[in-house]
Amino acid sequence: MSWNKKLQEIPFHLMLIPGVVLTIIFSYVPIAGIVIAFQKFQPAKGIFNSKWIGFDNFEYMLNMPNFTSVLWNTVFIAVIKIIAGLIVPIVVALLLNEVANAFFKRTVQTIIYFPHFLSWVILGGIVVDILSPSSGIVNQFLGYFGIKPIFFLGNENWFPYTLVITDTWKSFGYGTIVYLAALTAINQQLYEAAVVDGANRWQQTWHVTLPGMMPIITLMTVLSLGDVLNAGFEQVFNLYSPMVYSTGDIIDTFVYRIGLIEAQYGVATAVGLFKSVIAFGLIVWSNKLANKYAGYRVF
Amino acid sequence: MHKLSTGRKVFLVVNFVVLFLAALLCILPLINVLAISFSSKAAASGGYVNFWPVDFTTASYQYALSKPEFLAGFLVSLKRVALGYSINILLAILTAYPLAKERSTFSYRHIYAWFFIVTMLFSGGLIPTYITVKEVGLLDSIWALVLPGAVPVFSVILLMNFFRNMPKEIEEAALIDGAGQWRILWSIFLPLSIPAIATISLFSVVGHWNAWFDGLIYMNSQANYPLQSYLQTIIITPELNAVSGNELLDMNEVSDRTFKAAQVFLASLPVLVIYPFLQKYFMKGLVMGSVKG
Amino acid sequence: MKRKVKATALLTMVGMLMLSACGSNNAGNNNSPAPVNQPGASTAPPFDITAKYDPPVDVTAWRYTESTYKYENGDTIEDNIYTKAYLNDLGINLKYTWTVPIEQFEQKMNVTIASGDLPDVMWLTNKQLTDLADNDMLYDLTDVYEQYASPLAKEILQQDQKAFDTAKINGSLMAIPKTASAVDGLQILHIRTDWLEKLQLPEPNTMEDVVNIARAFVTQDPDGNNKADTIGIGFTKSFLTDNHFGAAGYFAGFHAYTQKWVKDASGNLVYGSVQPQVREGLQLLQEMYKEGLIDQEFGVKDRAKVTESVVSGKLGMFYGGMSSPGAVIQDNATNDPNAEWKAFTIVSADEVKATPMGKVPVQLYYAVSKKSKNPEAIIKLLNFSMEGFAPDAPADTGFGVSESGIPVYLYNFIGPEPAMKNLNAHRNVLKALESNDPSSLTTEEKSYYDRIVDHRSGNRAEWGQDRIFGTPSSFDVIDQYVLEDNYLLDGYYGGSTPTMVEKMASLQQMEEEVFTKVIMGQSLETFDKFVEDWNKLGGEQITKEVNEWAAKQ
Repeated sequence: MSWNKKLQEIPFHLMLIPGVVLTIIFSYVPIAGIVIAFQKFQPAKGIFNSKWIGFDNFEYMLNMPNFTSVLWNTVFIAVIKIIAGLIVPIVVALLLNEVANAFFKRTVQTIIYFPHFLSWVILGGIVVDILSPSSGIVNQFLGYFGIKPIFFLGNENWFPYTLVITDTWKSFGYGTIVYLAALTAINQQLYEAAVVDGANRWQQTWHVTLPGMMPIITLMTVLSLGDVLNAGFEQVFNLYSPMVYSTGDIIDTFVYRIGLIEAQYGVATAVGLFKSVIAFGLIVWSNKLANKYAGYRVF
Repeated sequence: MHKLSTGRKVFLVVNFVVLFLAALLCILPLINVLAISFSSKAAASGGYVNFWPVDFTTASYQYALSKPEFLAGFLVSLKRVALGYSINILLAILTAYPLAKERSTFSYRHIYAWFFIVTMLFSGGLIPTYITVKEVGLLDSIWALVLPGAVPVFSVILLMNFFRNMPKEIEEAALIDGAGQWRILWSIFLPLSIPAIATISLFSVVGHWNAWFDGLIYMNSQANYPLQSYLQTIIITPELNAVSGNELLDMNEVSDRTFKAAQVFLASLPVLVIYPFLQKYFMKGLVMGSVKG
Repeated sequence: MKRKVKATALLTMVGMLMLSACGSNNAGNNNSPAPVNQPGASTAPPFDITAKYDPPVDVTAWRYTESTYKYENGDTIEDNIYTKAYLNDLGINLKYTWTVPIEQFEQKMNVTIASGDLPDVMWLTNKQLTDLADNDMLYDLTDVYEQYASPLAKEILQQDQKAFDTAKINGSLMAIPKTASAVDGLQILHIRTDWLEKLQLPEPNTMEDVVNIARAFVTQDPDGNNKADTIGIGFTKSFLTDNHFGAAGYFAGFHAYTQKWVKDASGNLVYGSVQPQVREGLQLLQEMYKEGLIDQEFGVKDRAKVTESVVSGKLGMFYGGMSSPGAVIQDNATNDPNAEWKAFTIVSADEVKATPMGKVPVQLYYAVSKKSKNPEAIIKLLNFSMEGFAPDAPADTGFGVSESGIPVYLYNFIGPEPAMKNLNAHRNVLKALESNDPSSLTTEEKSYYDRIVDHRSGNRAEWGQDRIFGTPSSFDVIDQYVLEDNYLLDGYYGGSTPTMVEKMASLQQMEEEVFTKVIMGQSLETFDKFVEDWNKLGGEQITKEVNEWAAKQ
């Protein structure tokens, strides 16, 4: 590479310096603490004096009685959440885009963001009421269609879906923001060209809007794959019960109940490391896929 | 001016209804929570409150607002958001721009990109991070709340993708005109990226405003607590009170339900106020007319 | 950085202060206004525990706070009547390094310990106590306590010797335990008496009575609205661990003690949840659920949800604790002027009386760092705190409850209580109510008295107080348990054994799942299989370890 090229790249390096320095100090230095995952860690001993036990913590984690089912639950719930979390905001963004009345559009956009602010601690009680088989609105509504009451929160088979639906409700407003921003960044000229070609609104959406959003959609998909082992601790913790442990227990609630957080930092860190490694692998792999088949490089 | 087809008209009506229902679904629970926050303890714990306060009272709000700590916390939070947001947005822009360049323009971009992405997924955990913050001398300082998350990687990636999708002609034209990279970034890319900037601004402001855990962990003196951390200290947790035996004292006019409800509103009010203001920036489209030749 | 310079300067100053304090103490100053009822200092050692440090000594500390703490007149946790007294009367300048809400206490504590910072005195949980003691970071208090703790303090702390001994590690006293009352935690059966009257039902003496009452509550429309919307008996989804709406009191009626350790016929400790008596209890619960006497959705309802049923007048019977009238039922009383509840002793399913079981109630320990310059300061604080409990202590000192009813005693850094404090409060209050003479009551007791009097003159908002401390009340029931010596304590009160750490949580999860499913209809054989599995998957090993511990007590 020529000297000239190197010179040209200097502004880029300069721009990155502040971010790099801060990241090294506050993210990379603590990452060294991941060594805790390989120790029998005691806060009193600290990081440097706790005993090194190699992969024992990981073995322990994998041997925990329900680990496989908990892992499966986590992945299952997370994947469906990711799918729903992609589809719903995109659809809503598209629908909002079709609204001519600016006031209505803005109002709806603001309102759908509200549930994001309610914590699951509060929502827990509300959800129990709404989904009650005996007195809840949803079952009453279903009753009009002759459908017998469903115990959404207490039935093992329904519980994961209940989680997904309520979570999507809470967070779709947030995702819609991103997709709306992506929508408005699409070059207007492309629409004008399409209209000239005789495309109606549907065709415009299919041929201009969606492709225009593809980069962001791909991005969000890849990034959310990084969350595949985080099925939503706060939500599950507030909504689950012994009735649905078998399908509702996820890695984080399991770890929490085992009191690993307090009692065994080593194992807790090992679990965290396990999750990070898998998430990282998925992101790298999906990034490659997106690059190869869709031509989009996310990173 | 073309006439709307029937199909289109039907669609618009259905669209309206669907969106209206969606909004309704989202606002009803909020109205319920708001009503609870203004209801009496007895009414709230009996589940009597639907969409209108029962036994209207401002007791929960008074409980939160009456102490000087509330104002103190509020000021700390304002400071934090202002500082945190400025740092976030500055670093997001400075970091996303180079990363948005092709490898041919910036040969090291891949390395830098993965450098940041790794931090999104891997973390040392609470203890190592705490020790680092402590050793740097930031305990009890507002910088402890603002520096550890200074580079908002998710926002950086978002912005980076926006920058990447800028038409190449703009940059080429500017380069031909002799503009340096800094000039291109500030004068050209930024004005055209308003929707993206507005989006990541929202994330940053909401994130900083709502954060409470770091305040409790890194601040030793209560005077330094941001608002949400302070509110956590007065929240009533009946289950834990049973453990520590103080249930005898747990008979206030304010129940955990009414207070938590009030807390939600105290927490989200400022953001909800800013949000409509930011909205008009989401709506701004890319105006191609500004680029000539 | 400026920050670091400031910190170093501060530390140097503090260090110098402490050194000088050590020096002057040995001169045996005795100029403090000796606290009331303090026995004279022993003569032999030059060190006088009752003397105040002069100049004052800095003592750093940490603690948690709770939402129940209230402040007035500009008081804060860092500056209030107690901190002022520590400084003025004891010469101790108590400085909190940090205070956090109890929910974040463990994490903050762990994080601070891991980063190597220990204050002079600290609040610790059992786990951290063991951890720090094992790593030789705590000061051994055995001698200091022996020599300097006042007889009054010793008497109070050791009222429950078992509880006190939990603070000993390998025979040495490594902390002062925060003793409290075990009897406060005994189970009580709460029933709505206006419903009993309305349906003309007698008060319950047996389990069968309880079932009949439940049945009547469900089928005979006690709330009079012509709708079948009332529940027979209330339980939460976490009925095995919850205090209010829990099943401990119920199972005790079958002489089964879920989640606790009991002595079997040969004197060994066994785990209560897998004993045969549990089966009978489960069977009846299953029948009750099938008959609709238990809320069909109890399995997803937490305490707040079930409380709703109480408050809205749909639930009239549940097993709970001493504080239920205030913590759970009060709002029902506020909403409904006709609602009346009474506390009953738990009932038995056979001819043998039911015995409730409490836990050894030490949740917190006060420990001293090995590096502390004035380790005996904690004893000074301890003696000072215990003065209020002396038999002839003056009632109104401002350290208990303030005039406006604020529980000031919560600011106390060292807060052990005599084992029967609350029960005695109840007895004293009753006497005062009868004789109309509250003059001999302590400030705390007087506050209960005042509130009960308020209730009896018509203030429904104090109904809960009357039902806890007055009469009929929870403490009437507890008094009965105590007088008849009819209560047990959990047989195991050590920390977690190695296998417990590994397996207990999974075993408990299994337990919760199985119990819930059996109640909701699954065959009782599921329970039998659970007992087998429990033993196989670690329970047997845990039982062994528990008994090894017992042998050493």
